[in-house]
Amino acid sequence: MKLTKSFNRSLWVFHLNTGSCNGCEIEIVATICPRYDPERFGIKLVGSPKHADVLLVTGPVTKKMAAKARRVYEQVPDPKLVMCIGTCGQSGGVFYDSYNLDGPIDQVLPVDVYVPGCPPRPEAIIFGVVKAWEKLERLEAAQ
Amino acid sequence: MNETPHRTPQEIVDLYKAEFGAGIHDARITERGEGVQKTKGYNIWIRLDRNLLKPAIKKLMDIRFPHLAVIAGNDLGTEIELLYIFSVFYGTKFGEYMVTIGIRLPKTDLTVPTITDLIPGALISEREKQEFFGITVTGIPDGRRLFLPDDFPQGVYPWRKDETGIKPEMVRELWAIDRPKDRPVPPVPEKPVPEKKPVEEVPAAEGKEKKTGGAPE
Amino acid sequence: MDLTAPVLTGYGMWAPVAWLAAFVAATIVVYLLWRTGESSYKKGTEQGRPYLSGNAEPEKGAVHIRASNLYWGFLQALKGYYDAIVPLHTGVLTDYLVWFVAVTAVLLVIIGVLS
Repeated sequence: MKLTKSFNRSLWVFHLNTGSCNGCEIEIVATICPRYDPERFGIKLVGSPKHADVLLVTGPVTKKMAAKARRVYEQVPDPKLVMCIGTCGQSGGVFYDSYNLDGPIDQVLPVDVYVPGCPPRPEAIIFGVVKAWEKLERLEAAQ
Repeated sequence: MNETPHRTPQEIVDLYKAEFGAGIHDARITERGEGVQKTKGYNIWIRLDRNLLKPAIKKLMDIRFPHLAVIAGNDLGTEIELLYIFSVFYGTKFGEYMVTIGIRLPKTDLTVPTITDLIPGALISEREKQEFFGITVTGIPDGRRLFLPDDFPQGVYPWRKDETGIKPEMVRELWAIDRPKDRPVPPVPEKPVPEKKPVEEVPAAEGKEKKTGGAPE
Repeated sequence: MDLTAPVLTGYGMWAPVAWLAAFVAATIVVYLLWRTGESSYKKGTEQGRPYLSGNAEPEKGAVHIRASNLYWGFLQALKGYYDAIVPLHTGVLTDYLVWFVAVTAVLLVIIGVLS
């Protein structure tokens, strides 16, 4: 699908938890709160991946969740972006040596933007969204 | 409402000692100050014989119906200690205590009766202890695996510290996957911090803030 | 016969040409709305399947609800009656024949007494 101008106006976000401790979830919810107010940019949380443009993935991928995460990623319509929130999804974080994990998220899904932190501050998550927007603009210019 | 009377922690310990007497190995009250005013909060620890578990919980239900927080477990070498962590007197101002009832199971006989007939919500925590410690909870209504995947090998109990625990070949090093080879393996010794003059500190901190918070504010 | 005139039945008016015109107009509106949709999804992959929190879509036979579930209300309300009657349906042919003969006999007796 072609990138249309509506991507500059709104990015609908679906959040996927692959075994996280919920710290990153709380920070994502804090980002949505009125203090940082991303809804003025058109960013809102949706309840189904089929409505989403961006997939926010948190947590290291546990073995039980790997297939489900892959399935949810495939259900997001194109064009899509995947943002990995937190260090658990990037290098394992505190779970850097674990018996029950299927690796960092980029072993399971292709990731576009990484937001490190344990948990990352809302400012860092917003900065990550800005990077995602810049990436979308580069993709749109390349089309 | 027919509420039972509120008890102080010492009264609860005295009630337990009066009823169980010899079966109690250890009963203590730890005190801590909470908040700015340092209001007193109490934790009551009672360690008993393993066959006194259910009578002790029934007694706690007579004092006031408790809230089971979690069943915690610990591997002590030859024994596995199970701590049933409850909180009583929820709703009373500054009057809620945590009561922990601990029992020890020798590794030769790892059975414990289920408490789901008294507190149905204990099922989740009992299933967790069953799969992670390898204890047998007799009479459990649903003994399936809870958190571990179904193809996890039987006989491997992740939270144990002996030979049935996780073997090194089962551990997967996530940090080393796709890691560039020219970096030193952590832990890396810290670089010596250069001395900062106090005048330069303020603009340096501001510069850092601008970089991380540069999103549309 | 005039094809465009409405037909008066005993119950009301039936104007087939007007119906046809309405269907055509509705089809045009629906087609215009459908054209504004997204056509470039990948057929046959997960994008066509429902979102079930990441679980695989079960095959239709596993989630099929039988039509007899429609009258569960009757089954719940007349539970006492069903609890008594259903065990009598043993599936044995001779039992059914015995019931038939017995009920016929009782009916004949009643009719004989009444007449």
